[in-house]
Amino acid sequence: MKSKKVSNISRRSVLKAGAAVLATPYLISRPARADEGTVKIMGVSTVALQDWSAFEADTGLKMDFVGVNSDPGLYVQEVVANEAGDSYDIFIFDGGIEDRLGASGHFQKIDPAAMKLWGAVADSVKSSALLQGADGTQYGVPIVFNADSFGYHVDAISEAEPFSWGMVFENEKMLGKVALEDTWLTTLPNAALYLISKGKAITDPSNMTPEEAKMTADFLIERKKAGQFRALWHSYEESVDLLGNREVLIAECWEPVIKQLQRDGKNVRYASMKEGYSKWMIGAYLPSQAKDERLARAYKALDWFLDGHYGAQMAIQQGYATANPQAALAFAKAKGLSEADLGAIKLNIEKVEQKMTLPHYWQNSAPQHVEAIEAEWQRFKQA
Amino acid sequence: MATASGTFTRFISPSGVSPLGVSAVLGAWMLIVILPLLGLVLWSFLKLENFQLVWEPTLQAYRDLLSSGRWEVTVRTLRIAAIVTLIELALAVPFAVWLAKGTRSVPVKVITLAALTIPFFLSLSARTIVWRAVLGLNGPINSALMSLGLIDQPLDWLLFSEFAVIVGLIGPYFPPMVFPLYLAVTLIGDELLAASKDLGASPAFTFRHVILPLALPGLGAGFIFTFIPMIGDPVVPELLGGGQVVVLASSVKSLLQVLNYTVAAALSVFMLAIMVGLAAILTLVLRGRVRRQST
Repeated sequence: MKSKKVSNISRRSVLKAGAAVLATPYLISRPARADEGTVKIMGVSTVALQDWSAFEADTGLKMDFVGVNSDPGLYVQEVVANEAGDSYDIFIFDGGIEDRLGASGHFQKIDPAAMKLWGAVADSVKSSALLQGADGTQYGVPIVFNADSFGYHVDAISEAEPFSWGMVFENEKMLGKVALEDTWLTTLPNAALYLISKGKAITDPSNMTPEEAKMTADFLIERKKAGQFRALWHSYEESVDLLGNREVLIAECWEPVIKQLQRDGKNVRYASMKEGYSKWMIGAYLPSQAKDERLARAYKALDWFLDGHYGAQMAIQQGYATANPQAALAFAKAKGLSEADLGAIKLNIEKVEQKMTLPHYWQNSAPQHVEAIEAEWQRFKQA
Repeated sequence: MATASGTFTRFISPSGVSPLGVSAVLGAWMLIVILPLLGLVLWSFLKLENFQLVWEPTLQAYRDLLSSGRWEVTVRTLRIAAIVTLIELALAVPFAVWLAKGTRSVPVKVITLAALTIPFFLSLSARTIVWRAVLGLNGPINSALMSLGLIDQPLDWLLFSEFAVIVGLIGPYFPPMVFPLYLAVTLIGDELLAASKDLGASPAFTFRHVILPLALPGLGAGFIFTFIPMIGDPVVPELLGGGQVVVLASSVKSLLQVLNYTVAAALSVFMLAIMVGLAAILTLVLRGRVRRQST
């Protein structure tokens, strides 16, 4: 085989390309060197709490949380090219990224013995492919996760749950009544789940080969030409809007969207599925630069994420699952929280246990053939 | 410097300019303009694998451009920008002439100019999102058409279509077309218009042969302030196109999110080639006209 000359994207070449402009907000907001009592986290905004005072009271550490979007490209650039591990103690990002950054030595192996609560985390959760490298090395600690499907107007669908993904992608009764999320990350694998149920050969919906991605895009283009899809949404508010004013009757969406619409009195439900869910996992990863006292501080912070306070807050406010739900329940009981709040936590435990058992699939923000997959997605949008 | 101490009216012949100055300007030009462009072209002939550059010349990025339909995105973006610019021209020229010469009332002018400025205080997304309620399946337009009995099914092409994008772009890009035109027409002396009238010219003739040629710089500026920014604007197409009217800015953003710099570079080179091509055609056409007029 012909050998290829491959170079890492160094800080210099990125600057040369002018691409550093993209990372400017992060570069500017980069904090100065760590002081002893502070934990610096660069994490996706989904996992952030509005108020970290409980963290600071429980651990005696200060929290310095810099929020970023779920753009794997930018994240890799921060970690690899800008050596963010020099100044951040913990990275929290959509799982999948550790396959690459673990193998390249940017993340270090997790030491289970360094955390008190690691043993309380269910095996099915911590062994997620989104926390382990391709070789099975544990690089990530589970922070927040869920199983996504679609929301629908109850009066529009007569069939009973669980549904097939065909409800969204191949549904003659719902022509022009369906909204999709505008991203290859979820919509392509969701369509692939349906194709698998129709007998098509796709090995891993979240890590498709270029050929599999092409087949899925071809199917989506065919359905687009048939007039299946009304719109593709880009933001939380847009999906609330589309479903809320009945511009569409079915929308691939996030669970909090349905929670909000139900609070507004709409008769909508979040679907349970036959073939599987778009399961996602946001993990915490430790930079290889973190050592000694810095590392101990990071593990102390991670232990807090695995404890009850954080889990209870996430379940009540967002309906999202956390790694140690029993601790969340115990925390809520000890604090004397309302029945409604306890109910939200219990419902979450039940729902997650039920949904997480289906084999497919864990969302993967960094599939091996990401360039080809993104190109196929553009071909669908363009068609 | 000896030459600089003289008056500004003294003409400096090209040979009299310090060669140092010329090479400084030339060097800066190379560094700031030519070098980045060359970099862009170079990157477009490389490829990325797993976020890593492969230093091996390849046409892969251009093949991707064709197979993913991204070249169509460029063409569509230019088409939408051109259509909207033409609509703006048709609306803005009579409006600017009226505002500059048609009305003598100062309050009317002040109020009109304020009305053109105030929308800028609201964000573009906020102004655009309103169209979704208006053009939607359950919006007032569809409701009105249905209750009038003109249609029995709501029109779905009103929203999430190229039509919706064009409608949404007209508002935000009207002021940048009107302002330079208004300034240009204001600068035309009233005596010229009076002279044209005295010599028996109809208003249409005056407009065609006096106002239009003199307002040409304003027209050019208006074109630049509408057409060019529209090419790079993703806001309106994303909100009103429903993800189905993909434009260049969104396409490039999507590429950069996965750090696919080489295809982004190829897309930019493709765009550059189209612009150079258009400029060349324009130059040829204009040159032809000038020659015809001079013979």
